[in-house]
Amino acid sequence: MNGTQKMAAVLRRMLSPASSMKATLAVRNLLRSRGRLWVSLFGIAFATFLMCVQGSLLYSFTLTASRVVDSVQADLWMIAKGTPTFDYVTSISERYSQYAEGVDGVLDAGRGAAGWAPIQRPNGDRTLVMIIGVEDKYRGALPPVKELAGRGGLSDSALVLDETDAATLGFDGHLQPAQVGFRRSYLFAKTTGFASFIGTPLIFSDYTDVRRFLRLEQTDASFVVLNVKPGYDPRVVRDALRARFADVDVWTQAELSTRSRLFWLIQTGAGAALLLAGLLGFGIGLVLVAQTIYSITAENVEEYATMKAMGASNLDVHFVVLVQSLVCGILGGTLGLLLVGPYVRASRSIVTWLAVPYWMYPFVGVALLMLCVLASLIAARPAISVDPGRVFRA
Amino acid sequence: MHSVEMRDVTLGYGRGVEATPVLKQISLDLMPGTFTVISGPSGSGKTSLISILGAMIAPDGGDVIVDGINVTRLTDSQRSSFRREKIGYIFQSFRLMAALSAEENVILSLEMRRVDRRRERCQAALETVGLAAKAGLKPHQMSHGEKQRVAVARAIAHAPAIVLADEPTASLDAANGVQVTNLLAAIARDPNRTVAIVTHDPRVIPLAQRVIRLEDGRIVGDGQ
Repeated sequence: MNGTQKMAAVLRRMLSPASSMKATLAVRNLLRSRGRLWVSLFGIAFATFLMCVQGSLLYSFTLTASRVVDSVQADLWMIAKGTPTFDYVTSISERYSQYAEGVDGVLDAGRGAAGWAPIQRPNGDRTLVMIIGVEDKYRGALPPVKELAGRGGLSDSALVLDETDAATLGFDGHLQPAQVGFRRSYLFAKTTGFASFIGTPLIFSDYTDVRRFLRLEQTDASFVVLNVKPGYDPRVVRDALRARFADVDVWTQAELSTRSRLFWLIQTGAGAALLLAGLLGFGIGLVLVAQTIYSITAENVEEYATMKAMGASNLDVHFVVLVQSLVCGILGGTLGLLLVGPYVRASRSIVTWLAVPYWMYPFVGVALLMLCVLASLIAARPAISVDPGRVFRA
Repeated sequence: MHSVEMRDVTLGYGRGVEATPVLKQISLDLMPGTFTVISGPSGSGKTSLISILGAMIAPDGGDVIVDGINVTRLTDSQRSSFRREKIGYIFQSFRLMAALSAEENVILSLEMRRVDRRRERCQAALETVGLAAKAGLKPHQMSHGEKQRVAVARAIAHAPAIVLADEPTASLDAANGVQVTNLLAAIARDPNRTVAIVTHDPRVIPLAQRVIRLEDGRIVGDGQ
């Protein structure tokens, strides 16, 4: 039994005597044009695959773009005025953390440092990295550098990197000296979940070490993080802070997270490209399904004329075309979705942060159903407009 | 009693100086229980007449009244509904769905007509045309005569008030032509059914109870 026969057998079982004869006619006519059907199925599979992978890339990209912000345990952030994303923070006075504690609703405030610096390996290779450190109380889900360093017998200058960057920085899991910002340091542990989406490794260290690596002034920090007292709305406290400190930006954690995502998505054009590719997948699928069903409809236009002559309503005709469209969509879509998992696993060595959220499959499935309905509306035109009177002339 | 009345029906194709009149002031009545044959040479307007009778096209003028309903005043959607409920068609080229078996072709027709007890009705119709044993065959597995008998079964399965046939024997050999004609004549004996066929097959004429002869868009003969 070849592939087409197997598919036909499955469809036949689906269309048992209890099913609609119109649906049977729709599927049988589809199977009669097997060459066209296979081309359509592969096209739809590709389009579905493209929609799912591009959608997942877009989603993973947005999550990755704000991963550090989302990991810090803080309700509010103070950063230099006009900073478009966390990745581009510049220094502000660390005294803002003390000033802020005087504002009503602020529970506590801490400091963080982040910035770009070169890391140099013993062999002289140099790579630009983003180095990040936050006072331990606000560390949240960031790697516990101090704790790990203590366990490893290091008192300071310890660096933790994401496992996906280990090869780039030549780290084999054993303590390895390096220089960050031309200051002695040690790569000593790997973490997960902080893969860089722009190719520049993220390195985590203790707040005071990061300040040293970045050569920040004694009175400066890169950002100030704050928590609000229980019962206070962070947005209300944010407004109070904004009113008090006009020369810095104050954002809630969610706002800064969104701001960082939107920066990478829109202002860099990277997200727009991914979004466009996803839409392109939808467009390709629509054209392929519509074209295939249109051709099959045109091929069977005499049968539609007979149906209309016998009194079939436009709804009857639409039903036949819709069933054909849905069968194409379901078979092609399933094939495409089945390819997504293996492809994503295989491509993790290149796009380390790529993940397919569980809801992406039903989301793409619903989009595909919409696509099929739309395609059937286009493809049904020759059948709807056929003159039933031609049955007596042909 | 179902009856079909045509009053002063006219039809033309084209416009202006290129307009070609096809039917000219046709008036006729078709009564149930009568096997009526509409005959005439090619181009005489037979197909146009049956298309109007079958509510496929609307005439340019005149009225077609079936069961008191003026079909010419129906919208497209109402005409579809009218065809679905009132009429059974038999075509020269059978027009069976190639992907469906004989039984499925009949059931599809019943399904579109929103008729219940489809399998029973289908079985009865196929028995009437003597094809119950070949219900599972697809059109390509049947002879021309068998295909046309399936088409007859499809046309009568929903018990329509009117059965219209367009050259039903034209594609058949002598034996099958006679068989299908006899079948139609038998169907026409139903006192509640009006049967009209368009043909110029001389084998059909002797079985007709009424022969309407068309020439150049006019009725030139109407006899028993």
